Amino acid sequence: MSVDAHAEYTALGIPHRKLGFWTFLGSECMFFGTLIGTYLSYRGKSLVGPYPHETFSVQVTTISTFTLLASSFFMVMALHYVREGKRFAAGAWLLATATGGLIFLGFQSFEFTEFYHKGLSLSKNLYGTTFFVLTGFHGAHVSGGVLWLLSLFVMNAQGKLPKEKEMDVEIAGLYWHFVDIVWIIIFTVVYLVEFAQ
Amino acid sequence: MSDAHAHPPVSLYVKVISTLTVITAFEILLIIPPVKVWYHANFKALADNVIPILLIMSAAKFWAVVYFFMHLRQDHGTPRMVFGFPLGLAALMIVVLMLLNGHFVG
Repeated sequence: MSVDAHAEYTALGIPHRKLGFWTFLGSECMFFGTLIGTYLSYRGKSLVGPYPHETFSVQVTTISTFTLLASSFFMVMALHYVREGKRFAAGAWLLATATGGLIFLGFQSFEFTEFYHKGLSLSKNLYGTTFFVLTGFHGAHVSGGVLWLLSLFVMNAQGKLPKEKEMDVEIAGLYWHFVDIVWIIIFTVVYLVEFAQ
Repeated sequence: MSDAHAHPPVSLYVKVISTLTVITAFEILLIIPPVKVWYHANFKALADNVIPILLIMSAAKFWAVVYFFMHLRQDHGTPRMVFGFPLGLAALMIVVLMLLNGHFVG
């Protein structure tokens, strides 16, 4: 057969799954745009403390930001090695990416616990509600991504992720990079702007 | 068609992550209290525009990840539309809300 059995093209010139996933990511842009917009609308309008400048720790957030950024690089490396058919290297990079996500979640758990000890909760004030909903949903997305990456790691270890299945890793990568870019915006709009003012 | 594209070399990814790291480090530098005090005393223009500068750096990082790591530079056409349009709307909403609520003032 002259046509590759794994190649699946549409009239739009892009595989269905990939186009569907880009569309899903478009809807996720609106989802997080709404959550960020809500945070901004209520920013500085809490009537009781604690307030952002009393709770934020730039050190913790900086480390977790660099970790998530690095994990995006690990993800492209994993895809690169899956495409080259190098199973061991692909597995190592997939595991590194998932570990980056787990470290990020560890820092987020630490941050949430610290905030709670400082008196901030979901129902304490507008800041608590909008902050925890925004960062909590992002954390939930990261958790989903970690599970996805770990399942790919197991598939790769079992030899079920040959280079013909690169699309599986590419789509997981799209999701992982998306949670990274959402964090890039949250980090600036929620944390950096607060410290800059 | 994505499979027809030549896959980017590792060196490109290294350059992108290095650039992202430098931009992030510069962002952090701008909010460190002694540095903040210094530029508020010596560079009024920077102090007045620090938030738009932070947003521009953030947008540059966002673009770099989408363009190079998510390979949108190769997946032009429909993916750019289905992702770019809602992204543009969300970005517009965020900027308008920041303007309305006076969050651009450093």
